[in-house]
Amino acid sequence: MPPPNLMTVEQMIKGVRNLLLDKIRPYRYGDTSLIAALNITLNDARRLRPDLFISRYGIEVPQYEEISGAVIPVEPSFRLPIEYGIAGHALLRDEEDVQDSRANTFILNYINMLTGQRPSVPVEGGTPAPRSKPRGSGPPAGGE
Amino acid sequence: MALDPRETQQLLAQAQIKLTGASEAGIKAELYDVLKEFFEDSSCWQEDIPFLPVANQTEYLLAPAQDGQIIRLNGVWDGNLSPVESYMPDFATLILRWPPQSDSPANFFARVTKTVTLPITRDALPVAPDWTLRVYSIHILDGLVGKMMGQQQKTYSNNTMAAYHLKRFRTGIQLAKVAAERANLKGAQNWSYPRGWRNNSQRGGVSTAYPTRF
Repeated sequence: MPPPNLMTVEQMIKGVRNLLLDKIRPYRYGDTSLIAALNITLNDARRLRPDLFISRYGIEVPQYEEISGAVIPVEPSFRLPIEYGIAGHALLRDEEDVQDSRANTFILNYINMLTGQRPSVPVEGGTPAPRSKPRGSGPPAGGE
Repeated sequence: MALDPRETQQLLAQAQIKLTGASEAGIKAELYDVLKEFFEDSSCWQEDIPFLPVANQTEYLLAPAQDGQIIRLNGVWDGNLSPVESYMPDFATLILRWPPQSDSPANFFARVTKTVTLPITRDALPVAPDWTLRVYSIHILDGLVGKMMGQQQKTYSNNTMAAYHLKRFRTGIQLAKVAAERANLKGAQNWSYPRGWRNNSQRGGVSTAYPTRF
């Protein structure tokens, strides 16, 4: 089977599942949630780079309802940031700390690749790391 | 009438090399604006439109045969190449100052300046003369790159380089304007006697190698 080239909705979702390490059924991220993430990411990409969606006499953002062979009309060099945006949006759903960090990485890359700007890192959730003991407060090494 | 396809491909490739992260669709959309400014300010896209005057009729609709939007009336000449007083209050509607006394036996012609307009081609390119990029591709590229770099919050945004390229673009417009005024004749003069003093013969005047104002 050829590797996903991100041309169609099906290929794009497959590529996102690769990034999410979610390739075995039953999926952790359902088809509906990934299609929603695709549509939301396309809408957001239109905000950042409307030139990606120029049609003959205007700007049209495609929206999808199911995983199909429909071609996503975005130039090939801009499909990778779209893939990152979808993965980031999907990961935001998770509550685990490590997923927050990965979501931020994907979303920052998505924005950076489209705009050349590196936005500030959003606050990550999760439990604070345990405090380390101050130096010299522990029992002396060695001794009697 | 369309842009030269090989020149167009070359232009788009050069623009993408200079504009990291620019989309082809965005470049083509900006190219429309660049060409519009180029033709409007240089008046280098001209066409002679013939029409047959009818007795007592002063208003004539001018339809360019080779695409484009008429933006300026350069002049009207009768069958003997004598200037005819006329004006164009509405774009593409010619009005003769004095109604003809009778039907003219020969065509008059109106010389107009044009610019790009919609519709664009199927490839999303503006419709413009094929010589545009063959002759002025460097200046068009400067305009294109300058305008793209002037966009904010893009991977290719660069205000300093935008100013540099747009300055070169304006220089190109001036070159095209002067060349059009002199009908691309090297050494031609842009000066001529005022209308009352002008004639078409060299009698009583001085013959020069560069006679001319067009």
